[in-house]
Amino acid sequence: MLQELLTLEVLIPWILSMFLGIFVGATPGLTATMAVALIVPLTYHMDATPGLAMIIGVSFTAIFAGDIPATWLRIPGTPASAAATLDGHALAKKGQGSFALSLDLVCSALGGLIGVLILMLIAPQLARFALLFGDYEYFWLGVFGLSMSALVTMGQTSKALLAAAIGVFISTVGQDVVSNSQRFTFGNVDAMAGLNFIPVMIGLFGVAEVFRNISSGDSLTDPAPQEQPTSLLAVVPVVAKNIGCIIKSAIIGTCIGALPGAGADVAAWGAYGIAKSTSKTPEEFGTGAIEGVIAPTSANNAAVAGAWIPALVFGVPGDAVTAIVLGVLMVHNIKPGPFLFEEGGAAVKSIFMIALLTQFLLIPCGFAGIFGFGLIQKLPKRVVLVAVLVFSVVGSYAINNSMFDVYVMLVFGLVGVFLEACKVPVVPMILGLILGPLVEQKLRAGLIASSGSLEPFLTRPISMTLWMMLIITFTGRPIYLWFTRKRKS
Amino acid sequence: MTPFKFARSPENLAFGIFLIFIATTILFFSQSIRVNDFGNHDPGPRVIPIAMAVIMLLGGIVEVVSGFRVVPVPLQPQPQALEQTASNADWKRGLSVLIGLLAYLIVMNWLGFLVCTLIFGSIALISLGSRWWTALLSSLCIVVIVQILFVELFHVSLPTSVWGGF
Repeated sequence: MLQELLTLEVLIPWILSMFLGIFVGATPGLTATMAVALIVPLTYHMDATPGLAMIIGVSFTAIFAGDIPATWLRIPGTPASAAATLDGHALAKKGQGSFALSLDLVCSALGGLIGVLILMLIAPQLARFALLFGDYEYFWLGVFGLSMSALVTMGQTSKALLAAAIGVFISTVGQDVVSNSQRFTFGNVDAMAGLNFIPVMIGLFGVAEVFRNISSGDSLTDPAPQEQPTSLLAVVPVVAKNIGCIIKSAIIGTCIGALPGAGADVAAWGAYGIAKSTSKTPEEFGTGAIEGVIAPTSANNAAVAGAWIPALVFGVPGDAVTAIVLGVLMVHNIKPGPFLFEEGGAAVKSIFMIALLTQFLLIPCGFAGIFGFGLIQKLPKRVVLVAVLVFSVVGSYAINNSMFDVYVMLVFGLVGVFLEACKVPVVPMILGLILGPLVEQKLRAGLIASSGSLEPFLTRPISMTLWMMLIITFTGRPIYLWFTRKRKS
Repeated sequence: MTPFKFARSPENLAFGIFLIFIATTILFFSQSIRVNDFGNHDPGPRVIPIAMAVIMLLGGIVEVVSGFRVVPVPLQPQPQALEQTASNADWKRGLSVLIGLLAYLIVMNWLGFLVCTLIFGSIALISLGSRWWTALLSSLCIVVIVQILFVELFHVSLPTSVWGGF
């Protein structure tokens, strides 16, 4: 099997596709799904093995590469990288961007590796558990994800929850999927499909950051001071010290990734929130905490592996990428489903082996990406800021070839500046936008299924576990702090 | 002990007013959302927007009240006259780039992406302190990179001018 993979006709397209993944992932406006979609037509003319190697390679690298602009410029390359705008960017501002990205890369590869091992070992069992999730459980999962925003921004819980409410409201703009009613579109055809997540994200993070920099009074002549590029060996002790956090985040990422529709973005925020709530130094999160870099990146790459679990075992895609992959597998006469593990053993082994080796290839490809993008940091700051503005415009436009998305990006850029001036965290707003449709659809579908009764939301075992976890999440820490204070006094 | 003074929180006040404005707007426009009763216990398309508006309204009121409350805040050193002037200049610089960006987006549909970006990039860089030739060269590089990556590689059709080119 290994010999078959290590031939030039497999390795060359595989590595080239990984470089494409680095480029697409690092470019705001181009997503991992887009990268896979670009690769698919090429794979039709290839054998199954190099075709699968290209798709698996591009999907893992694009998710990591999204962290590169998120760390350097505070613009997430993909939605799954939004969490990297917190601690990764904070480290870059302190001149440790190269270190943050090297750490990010190694943890990404380790997270992916753990995710693939879990995929190999317990794929059927985990997929069966994922199928136990119905509308009621998904509703609570969405609410639980939103509550993470309160954890992520400890100390400003009320403002964080209000920002999440704004995000959920924004997600309702457009045509209602259940009743087809228009909501807040004001007759605009472009708005009927809803506000695209990417221009909103580029505006809130990228454009707001540019205006903050221009108006901050810092020097715009000199490049941002950065340390020398970090070698792989320099991050090894840090990785070894935080191996527990990496494993925990990767397991969380795999489990969330295995839930159809949840995806790498939810996995990254979930892992970030849990890492913060279990950290000994939660107050350091958001200011350049090492665990704040490690947790989301380990989780989002593990989630890519997790998404393959329901795809392979039941033919149910875990996210948009695996939905495309299912089509490719069919073209190559590989039929996903319970019989795949019995009848298509060679194909399954091939997929597992490619996914494993991709994690090792990710390290050199990722370093090349970090080095290439790091050169931009040597330019004068004002050139970078203007380039970011232009790329934000083009990135927003490229999604639908529409100026509407560019205006959305600009409006949310201004909203981002305003919210930052009011000391309101924008991250929960992003979470609200991502999870809003999930929460609304599952709430309404659940109520329709239960004839308007709220009982199943509260009494089904997994639902009950989730809402109890929600209560513990909100009350656990204040109660713990109250007891600690009382004991001290 | 850190010296402090008693002051109101203008951030909370501004955020509270913003929330109240958004919430009342949502409540007003949500009345125009068409509701179809299919008799299937669907709570309807208005439920989530109204629920969010109510949360924002209540939160906004709390923020406004907390904005008016006088609370102890750490004492900051008063800015010197020179720093004050610099701060005003930075604020104006941000505003000028914002106006430039707005004009850039409006004019792009007439002049096309390439010409517009070249002009916007140059003016923005000059207003941020670059020399004219450095600004022009940098803008040209940005345009070329965008053209190669987005247009040539990914076949994104960027806005062209009214006469069809650029």
